[in-house]
Amino acid sequence: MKNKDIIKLLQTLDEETAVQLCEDYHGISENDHRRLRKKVRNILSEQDLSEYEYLAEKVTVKNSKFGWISKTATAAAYVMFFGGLLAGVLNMNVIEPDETQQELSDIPPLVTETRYSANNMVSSGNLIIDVKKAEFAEKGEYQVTIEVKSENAVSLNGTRLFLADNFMAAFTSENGIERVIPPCAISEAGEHYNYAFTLGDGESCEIILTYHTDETPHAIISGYSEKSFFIKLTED
Amino acid sequence: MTDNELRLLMSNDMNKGSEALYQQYSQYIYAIIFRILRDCGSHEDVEDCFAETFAEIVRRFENIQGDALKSYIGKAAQNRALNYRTSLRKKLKNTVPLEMTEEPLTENMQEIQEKKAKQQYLLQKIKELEEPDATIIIQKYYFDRTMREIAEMTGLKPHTAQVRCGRALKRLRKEMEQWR
Repeated sequence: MKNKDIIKLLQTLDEETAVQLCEDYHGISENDHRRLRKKVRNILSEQDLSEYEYLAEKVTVKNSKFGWISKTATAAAYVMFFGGLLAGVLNMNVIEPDETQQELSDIPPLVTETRYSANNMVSSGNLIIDVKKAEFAEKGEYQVTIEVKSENAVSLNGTRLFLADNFMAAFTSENGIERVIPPCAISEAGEHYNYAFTLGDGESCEIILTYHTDETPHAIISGYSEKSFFIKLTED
Repeated sequence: MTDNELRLLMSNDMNKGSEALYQQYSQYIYAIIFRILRDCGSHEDVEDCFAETFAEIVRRFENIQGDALKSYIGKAAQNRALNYRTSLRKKLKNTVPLEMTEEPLTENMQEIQEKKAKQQYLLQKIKELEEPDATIIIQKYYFDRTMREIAEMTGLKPHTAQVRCGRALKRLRKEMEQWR
């Protein structure tokens, strides 16, 4: 039998055998898994966007406990804000000790008391993020408490909305980002918001981001992508 | 994890449930899609189709009725891949057959049975190869990976992987002589 016959036999397997082969020989490599997860996440985010009218209503009701959400804000406005959020590029700068813009790799660890300015996500002004606390709440749950404040921030129709996936935690290896995980939830005062919270001009809120991981956070980066804060976890 | 446990997890916590669903079914979905798109699409096409399929399953999960979750997922992957195949064909205007048939129509039952027997024998002989040779052969000739990718997966140098691949293929040729 020639090489090409052997190869042809392999390439015309029935479904059952193909599935078994994939499971036995790791049809999806680690690199594949990373790419696939990212693609799935992107699609699900887009779906969230397309269903946003429904989502916005949900968020408005839940967030009423914040006390700073206008009940009259319309779902249409949220859709516009969110569209703007996706289109914007977030630049994250540590205000102290250095106000200059920093490249992703140069941004110092995000630890307690560190303050960040996230501009370019808004038309003008800044979003200020203060890191209050970062700790294991219980086994498998790492929580980062941050305060987000709009400092004269002017965005479309004056309101900014954040999805949970805007706060990604990145674990890094020596060769770069090893794994990125979104928080399972955003919460405030014990109330969980699986999707989003909103922030009006001049308003602030303290939120807890919960990440599911058993790893001991060993390093933190903070950075930006087109729509995400990257929170890199570190030892105290 | 059973399907019921998966359903419960999905209803309680969508993020954890989605992760469990991914862990449990990603290889299965990928295998089905890869098999259908392998001769007309790139790895990227397979990945895009996978992502669309998985996202759709997550989105519709609570509406999936009955106990046959695996069957539903398999069918969803198959349908999505066939649609993707059709659109690729239109885009590329190539000669990829529109419908994915299990076997070419020109083969009769006897030929099909003989081919399946050959395939089973071949897979058995591949399994009997020393590792990582079996992995190299499968990754190279079934999953169409480059030697660089295979080298990364197996921890070998690309040249070493190439040499081992050649030797393993030679051994398989010898083992398959009886099927000429």
